[in-house]
Amino acid sequence: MAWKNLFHNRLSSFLCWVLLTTGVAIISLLLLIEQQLEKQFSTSVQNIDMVLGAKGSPLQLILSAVYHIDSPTGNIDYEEAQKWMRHPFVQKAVPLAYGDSYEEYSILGTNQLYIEHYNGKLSKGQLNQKDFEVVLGSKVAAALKLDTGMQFFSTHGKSKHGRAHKNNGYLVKGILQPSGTVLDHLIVCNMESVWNLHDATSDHSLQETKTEDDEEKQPDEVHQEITAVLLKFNSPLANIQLPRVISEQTNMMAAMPAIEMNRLFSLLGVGFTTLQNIGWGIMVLSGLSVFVALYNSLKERKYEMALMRTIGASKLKLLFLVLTEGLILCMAGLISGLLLSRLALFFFAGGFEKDYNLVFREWMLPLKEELYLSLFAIVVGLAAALLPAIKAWFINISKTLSNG
Amino acid sequence: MIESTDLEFFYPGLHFKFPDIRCANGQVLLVTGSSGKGKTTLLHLLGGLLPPSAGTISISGTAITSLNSSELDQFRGANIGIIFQQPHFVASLNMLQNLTLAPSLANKKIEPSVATSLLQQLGIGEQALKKPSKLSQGQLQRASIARALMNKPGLLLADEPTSSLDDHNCETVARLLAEQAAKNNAALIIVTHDQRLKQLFHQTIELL
Repeated sequence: MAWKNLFHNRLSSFLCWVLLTTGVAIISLLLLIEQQLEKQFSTSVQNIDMVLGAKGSPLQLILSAVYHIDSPTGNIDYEEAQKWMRHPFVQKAVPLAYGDSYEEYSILGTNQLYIEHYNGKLSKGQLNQKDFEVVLGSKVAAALKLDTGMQFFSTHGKSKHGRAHKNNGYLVKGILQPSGTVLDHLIVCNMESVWNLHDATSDHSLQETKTEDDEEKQPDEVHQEITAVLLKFNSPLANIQLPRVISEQTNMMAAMPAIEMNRLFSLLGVGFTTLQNIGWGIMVLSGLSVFVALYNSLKERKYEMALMRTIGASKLKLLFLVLTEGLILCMAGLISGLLLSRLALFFFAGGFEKDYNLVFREWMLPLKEELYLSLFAIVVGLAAALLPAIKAWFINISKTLSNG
Repeated sequence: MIESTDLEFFYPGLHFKFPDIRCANGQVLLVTGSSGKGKTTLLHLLGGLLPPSAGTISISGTAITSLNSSELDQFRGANIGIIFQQPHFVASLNMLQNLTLAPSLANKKIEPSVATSLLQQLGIGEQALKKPSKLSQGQLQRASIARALMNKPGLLLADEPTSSLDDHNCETVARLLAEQAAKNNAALIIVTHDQRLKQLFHQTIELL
């Protein structure tokens, strides 16, 4: 019966439903994205206490070295960096040398520690051992349709239209299993490959006067340069001491991922909070429209209500009828809102993955916050239905009908 | 069988004192009087829609003046059929659903066949699946008789059932009412100022 009444007043029911759906979807989508971003960023940042790199913006250094979604700040001298990599406070140090890219996927020169760090497991082939052998992240292999034994030529820098290095092809030795980390989007080789190809990147300015494609010199042992070093400490003391010492004594910069990510999230947080407030606003608005819809329909249905009382409906039944109508509307809005947010995220996920190397996982699962959201939606619905319901309770049958 | 004794009702600034009413099953009682004499008030008192200020009403042996609100709703649903001046129906339900609403609200078994046969007897069988807004006044008035009969009540109360109908429909509706009341062996009380009905029913009480 509640259903039929709602269907009878299609237009206002529809309006309530749309408003509720929108409100719920916005809030739930934001909650999901926020949670997924945090999860993603924190899994990538796991076990990295500090990043050593060239002077510049610390946030940029973190974004480039840990997440590979920004360009690097510059290069640092490998020998200089090695001093710090061997520091007694350092438990683990992974050097990173940024090289070229292939079809917009970065080729990263590093050592075996890097793949270990992200728990990368081979799904096919073997790890790279010699120069110009590479291991592909799962997403790279799938997107570029590369298989073990195949060869490709990289392009200089990170753009698609960079100049191709035609002389040294990379050989695919292995493909990694999906790890849900940034590793999925990388092409990993040893550092020597990067150095050999570029003859130490800093010399580029010199070489560009010559022909750039002629880069077949042996690596210049003195001038080996890398882009950044990921460090893990074995002592909490290092968190305080090392960054200061490094910025005082060297021309390198040390950035702490935890601090920089907190900064990033507090910046993003303002936007998230604003959008969330808009979402709550829409929910309250939808509550109001549920109220108006029920109240208006009650005005028209005053006679109906009185009549139902005369044919045996108790006050309680009418109260429940109106409350049920409000509740059905809210539940419908809630469910479709939650579904809509998932659908939206499903479409966004592809873009996020491509542009920011962020993989959304387990986003189908309801969040704890969504429980509060559901409770709120139900409370809004009941509250909006309550006043009309109470009016239905106190309807004066005799008066209503004799005025009819 | 309905009996009332010493019924009184106070409106602010108005005081009604009603004559005692007695109507046995199968009988028809016409209550007449010009407007403002408390006809509708009396009907609402008899139907338990309005509690009297003084006096008692007993229907089929139950003193409805001593029932509480929800008992009264229950009793009314099961034992009293009321036909109002303006036929009101639940707009979102079709006629058949509107009729079966009566037994469902009175917690009785729902028999759609009873509803269809009632509608047929009243000559509106084809309208069963239409919404109330699609029916004419005369058809709605007949449908409200059908609804009042759904629970086979011992008492039928009709408030100006014919005032909005033309002469032809007036007579048909009045005859149908009496016919159905007799068939169900129910007491029928019609409250009206419609002179046309006086020619049809002879047992009359006039409110002064």
